[in-house]
Amino acid sequence: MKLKIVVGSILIAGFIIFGAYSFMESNVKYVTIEEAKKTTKKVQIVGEWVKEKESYYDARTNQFVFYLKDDNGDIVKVIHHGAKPNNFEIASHVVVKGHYVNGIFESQEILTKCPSKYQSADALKQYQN
Amino acid sequence: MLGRILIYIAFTTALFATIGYYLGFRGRKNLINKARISYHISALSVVLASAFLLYLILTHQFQYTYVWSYSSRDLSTPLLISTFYAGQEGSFMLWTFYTAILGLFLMSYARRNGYEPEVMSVYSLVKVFLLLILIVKSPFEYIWETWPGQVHEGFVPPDGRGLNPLLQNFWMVIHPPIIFIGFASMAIPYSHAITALLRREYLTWVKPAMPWTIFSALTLGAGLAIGGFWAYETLGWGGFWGWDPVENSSLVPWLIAVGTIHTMLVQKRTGAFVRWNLGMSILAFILVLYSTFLTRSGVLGDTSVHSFVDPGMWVYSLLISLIVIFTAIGFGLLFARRKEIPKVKVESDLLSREYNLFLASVILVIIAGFVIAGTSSPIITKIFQGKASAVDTSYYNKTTLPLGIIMALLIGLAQVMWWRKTKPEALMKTLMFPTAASTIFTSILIIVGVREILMALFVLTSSFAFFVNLRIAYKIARGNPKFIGASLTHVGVALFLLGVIASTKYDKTQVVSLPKDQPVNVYGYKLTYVGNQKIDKERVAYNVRVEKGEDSFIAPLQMYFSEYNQGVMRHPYIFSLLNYDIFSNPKLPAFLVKNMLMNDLYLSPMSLEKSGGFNPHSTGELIILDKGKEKTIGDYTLKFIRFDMTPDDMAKMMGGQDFAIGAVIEVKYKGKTQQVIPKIHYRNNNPMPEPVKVGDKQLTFVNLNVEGNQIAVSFGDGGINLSESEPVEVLVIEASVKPFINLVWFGVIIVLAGFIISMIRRISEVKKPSKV
Repeated sequence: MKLKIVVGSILIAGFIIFGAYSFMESNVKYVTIEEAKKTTKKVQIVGEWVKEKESYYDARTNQFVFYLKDDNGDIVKVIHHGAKPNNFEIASHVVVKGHYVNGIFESQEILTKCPSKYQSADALKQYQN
Repeated sequence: MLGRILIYIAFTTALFATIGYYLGFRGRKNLINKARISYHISALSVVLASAFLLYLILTHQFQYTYVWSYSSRDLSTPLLISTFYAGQEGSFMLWTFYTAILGLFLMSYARRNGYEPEVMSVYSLVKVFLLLILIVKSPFEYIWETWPGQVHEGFVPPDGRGLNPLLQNFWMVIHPPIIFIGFASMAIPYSHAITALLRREYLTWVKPAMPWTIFSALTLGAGLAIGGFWAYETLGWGGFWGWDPVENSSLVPWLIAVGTIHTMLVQKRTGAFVRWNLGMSILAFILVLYSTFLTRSGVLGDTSVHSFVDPGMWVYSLLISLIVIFTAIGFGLLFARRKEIPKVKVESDLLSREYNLFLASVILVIIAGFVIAGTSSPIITKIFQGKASAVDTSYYNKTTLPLGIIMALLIGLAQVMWWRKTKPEALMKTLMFPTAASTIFTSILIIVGVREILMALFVLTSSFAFFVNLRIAYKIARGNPKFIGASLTHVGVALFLLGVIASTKYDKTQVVSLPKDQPVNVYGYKLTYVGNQKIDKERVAYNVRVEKGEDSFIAPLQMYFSEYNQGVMRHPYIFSLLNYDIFSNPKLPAFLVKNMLMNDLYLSPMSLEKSGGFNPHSTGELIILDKGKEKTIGDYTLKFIRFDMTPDDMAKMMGGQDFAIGAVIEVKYKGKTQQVIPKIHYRNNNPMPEPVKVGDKQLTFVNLNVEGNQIAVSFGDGGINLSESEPVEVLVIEASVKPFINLVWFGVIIVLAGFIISMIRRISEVKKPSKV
């Protein structure tokens, strides 16, 4: 019986360590562009879309290209593997997840954060004037 | 006003019922009847308030903020009904509604079994808190109360803001009504556990609690399944599960409830695991509350694709106090009574059913732990790193895979174990066939293409679980089908796991450009984009003709800008056995049965491009040329020498301006050798090739790969004059085939059927006077 408890505890501890390790591994840190350039790990960057610079979707390679400016004012070219995300035009800021490789941020996932227009009285005002 | 008054009445009477029942349990028996009446009044008020909200929605009373926010005049009646629970206030209303109704059943059930005051006082307290949320965040608020000063009193907007198009779907109409039964009913096992602690009757409580636990697992499971199906067929995730916080938060309580069922079975039989069962029943409900907090409080805010609305400080604090209070009651009481809870020595033989059922429960708890840790990652990282960030979805796959393998193995083993002890020889005998069958099955799959070790192991244990349980189910079906529940459920789980492995690990996906009216072959189907049309005031369908052999069907892929979401919505079209168009197209069913038994064809729109007068497929067959290598096409031999680009063009390319690039190609034709330089001009990033004449053919430089020193050219008859042709619409889609995804749906249906059978069996056991 004692042995079983020992074996059980070791197993449980093993699972916890395994879980914690995977957690740390998969935790995608928020970084600045400068920090992203220094690491090979998957990271995420928050920033704004630089509307003045080029931005297009290439259908043949299924890549969406745009420039992102982070809070420090640094700018990086982003190649996103996929279609242009929803709400991209009106997003107040954009989060890209991926790796920095040879001067380009290769993004696998884009999150767009929109100014919350819901629950605002603005939409109601159109009727009142 | 009426709605609010009803909520206040319901709140006051529920509070009175809670106190009355509690005092009744403490000895003032005369209060029990009053508490009972009070609960009935409360339940009736909740039903009336719900009916009133529904009435407001159906009659378009847009002066109410909730009605204005989620509905509009153009919605059909079923969709209009579904706006009842489209927002936070309404979904809390729905939850309260179910809590009220289930309470009536629980009341008479507990009365028959003699523990009404205790169970109802706890249960009614849950209702009190839900009603408190509805008071703070009322669905009956007027727009001038929501935005004082901005909207004048008495104003009725002519139309509402409408329903999110993602929710305008049959599955989303039925998903919340089912999953909220699960949430609401999870309070019942909790109440039973507290009752057991209050009454100090630690051994007998599981028997009446069991049917309710199975009921919760059944309804929550059905809700999860429908949600997954919705994600697959509407959201265009390409899969049924995305490890999204909203999904995870229903999965975790479900896992705990399922784990509890396993150990409750042991306690009912042997009296062991009392504390474990009490703890698990309490935990399942607290996790429902915690999940609600995660998804409703705005705490996940910026870290998910979902946007979580911040409900305000009041709801936030209420949700937190809900968790704190019910945790304190549950675990506080459990801790206080821990010494007096009888310990029955558990059969510790490794080969006993008890031990394996307990292991199953533990595995499910560990899986739930991993999932909840990942879902809470924004909170955890916020505490330790100062900035919230979510774990990558790969975390969930990585952590659950090894546990899934062990779980599948246990599902197979535990079913053949006997209570107390199993003779190893008997075990060997029964396991002979399943072991052999699953080994053969896995070997075949390894030959076919399963190459990863963990995947092969998962296939092995899942198929082992399948064969073991199938054999048992078959035997029971011939004997007493009433007892088939457990083995049927596990057959379903095994099929589900096999379907998950096949459809998520071995799916094939390809991004395809479909120039208008030009067929492209993908995975054995001929796809042609034939044009688009508006379906309603917003939605646009891009029609793709799908042909295979004699059969031809139009797949309308939807893609449109949604005013409501301020973004582009994309809905896939899926050729699967569960396609609704079988009702409108009589030829479709035969086609689906012929082609879709093994694979779904999943077509998802990506974007519509206007190709600037150029279409690679219109200029002839594409040929890839490697630098310096000759390639012979008919009478011609082509050799790609080098790229040709002026410094001026180079500078323009770097600056993101329009530029041109050429390819020097050596052509041998009828003994003569010449060099030609076809070019691609990039205008606004659209490639515009400029072809050259070679003999009687036209050579067009179509695409390039600078690093690979490769180019693609087309070599045609030159019938098309490129510079004058109209811009061609190109529909870009993602086409994928999902092998054996039907096993996922089929497995889930079997699991749910198994749950229903088990529940009926356990209910009938409660009714029977217990054998002593």
